Amino acid sequence: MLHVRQLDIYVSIILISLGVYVTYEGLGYGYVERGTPSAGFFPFWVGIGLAVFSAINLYRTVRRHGLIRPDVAIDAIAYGEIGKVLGASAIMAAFIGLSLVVGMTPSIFLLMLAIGAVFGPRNIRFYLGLTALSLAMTAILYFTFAYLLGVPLL
Amino acid sequence: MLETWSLLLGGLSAASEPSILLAIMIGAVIGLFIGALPGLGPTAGVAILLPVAVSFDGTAAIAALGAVYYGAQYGGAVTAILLGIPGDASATMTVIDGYQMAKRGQAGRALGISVAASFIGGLIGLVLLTIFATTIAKAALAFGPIEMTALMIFSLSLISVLGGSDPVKAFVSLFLGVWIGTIGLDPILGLPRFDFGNVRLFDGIEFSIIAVGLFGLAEMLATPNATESAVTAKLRFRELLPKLSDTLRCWRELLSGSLIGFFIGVLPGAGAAAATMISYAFAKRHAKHPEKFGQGAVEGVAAPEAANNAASYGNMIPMFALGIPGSGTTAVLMGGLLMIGLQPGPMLFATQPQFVWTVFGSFYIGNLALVAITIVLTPLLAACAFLKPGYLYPVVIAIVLYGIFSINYSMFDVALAIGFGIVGYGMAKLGYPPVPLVLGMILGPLLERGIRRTLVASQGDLSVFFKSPIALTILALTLAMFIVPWLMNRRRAKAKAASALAAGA
Repeated sequence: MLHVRQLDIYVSIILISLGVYVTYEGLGYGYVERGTPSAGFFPFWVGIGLAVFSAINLYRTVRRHGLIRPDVAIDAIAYGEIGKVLGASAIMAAFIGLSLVVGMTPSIFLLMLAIGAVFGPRNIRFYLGLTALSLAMTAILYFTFAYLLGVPLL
Repeated sequence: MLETWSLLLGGLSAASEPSILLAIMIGAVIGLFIGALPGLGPTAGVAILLPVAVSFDGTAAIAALGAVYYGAQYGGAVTAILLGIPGDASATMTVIDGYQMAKRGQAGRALGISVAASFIGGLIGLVLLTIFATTIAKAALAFGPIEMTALMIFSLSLISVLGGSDPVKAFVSLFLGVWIGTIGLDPILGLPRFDFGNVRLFDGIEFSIIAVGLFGLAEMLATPNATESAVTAKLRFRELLPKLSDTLRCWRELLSGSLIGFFIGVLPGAGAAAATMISYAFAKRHAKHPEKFGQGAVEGVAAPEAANNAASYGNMIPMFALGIPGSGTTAVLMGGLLMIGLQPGPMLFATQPQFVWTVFGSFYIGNLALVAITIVLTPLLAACAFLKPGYLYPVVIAIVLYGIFSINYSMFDVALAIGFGIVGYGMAKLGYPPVPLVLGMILGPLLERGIRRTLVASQGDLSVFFKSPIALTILALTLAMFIVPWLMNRRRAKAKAASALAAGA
């Protein structure tokens, strides 16, 4: 189980760093030019805002010593769930790579089968239904985007 | 006022064209199913369909997206009543009495009053939208860049304070969104900012990519699966028809729910879910038999259903009249308007009256059509709640990926949407609300332009913001919004400490 509090601390540190980076870059773009705000004026303040509020969140989370926030319904995320989400994301990323090689139409069919396999039950009846659904959906998508909307699919 | 109604009549006639009617019907049906599916709310629905819809004609696209929005409000009630599963947050209050009615064999009656309440709430909301949007837009024409900048600061603050239970995280989300909005060429000097050496980021990040990632992909992945533990009532068509006697009996709840829903909906960040809670509490407090609420009272279904539909139109007022979206769904809708080349705000009524009134006309037609469509599709909608993620997710993800690719024919955009899907999932798990991020991304660039142009015109003199009485009032309200709750909390803490001291003595 990945503890939400722990994750929140890491995320807050990343966001503080991002805020500092945005402020630093903002200064690099120029804060004021001839007495009026320049390209870096807005990012400068946005970076400060991001860093300050992330720091407040970090302080609160560290002080809470593992107590669960009432507005966050969970205190931990199961590794299985994280695995499913990352698995689905990896499959979507693979779709991009595969599309460049074999085209989008066969790739989307394979993507649907793979996503279904990640989130669905493991039995032959489901796989048969999923295959039929994926075939139908691939045809619908091809018709809608390639013919109806004239999108040049890869 | 007469002019408004004649313009609306023209809009109704234009919205009766076959292409617009088809767009309304498709949007309404999709919205109904999205509302019924646990995990996919109106925001996700509009976001998923945004890239596909904007590929069609502009007016038809917004009519379809609007129909998805209010269609989802109708659909959420069906699964809430029949299965005890709210399709989205705004249907949560409907579960309390609607599901009790279904368990007592009155599912048809509950569905009937929910359809009637949705229609009446929607109609009242629409009439008020028609009246107020034009009135506010006319008044807002007097707003210059200074006043609009002050209004944007106020709205962003309000959204971050009202938009979630954790204002600190809401502000983090807001600043993150505003920063994303600065990616690309500087709007005044043309200098590239935060492009990380990638020329594809010179134009910034397309709004729909983030909306689809945060709302479409993330919300779906972050939602736990529904369990099959509900009433599966067999319904006959006649049972689903709204009963006049119930509608007449609930007239007070319908009226109060609609008015509360609309005015809560107008507030940026408050949302339909808050409107349903307040309208339910109001109806219970003023009921002859408040003890029946929670046990299957028909009034307990009427009030929240009227409220959530009225709220969806109230929500559109700040977007259409001021160019400021008040919720996640209207932010996505506004993104759609921007994508088809229209800038929402007071000038939209003056420069694009044909578009505005056709869209408003389509809302009236859609609201009426949904009564029949909901009744006919109820059995299918109920079945939707049991749709396995193994079937649902591949279909939605496939639509999302094709839709994103079709915007710029770019796989880089698809990769970005997937990235924002993961970010959105993390935000959902950590309690960072995504709505302020999206609003920050839309309003951030407008705010930056407003502030910088004003300061360039005033040669860097900040006092211009305090010379305009309207801007000054708005800024004072913004400040009060932070100070008043803080003072009240302090007073409460002092009173608590004093009473504890007295009890100890």
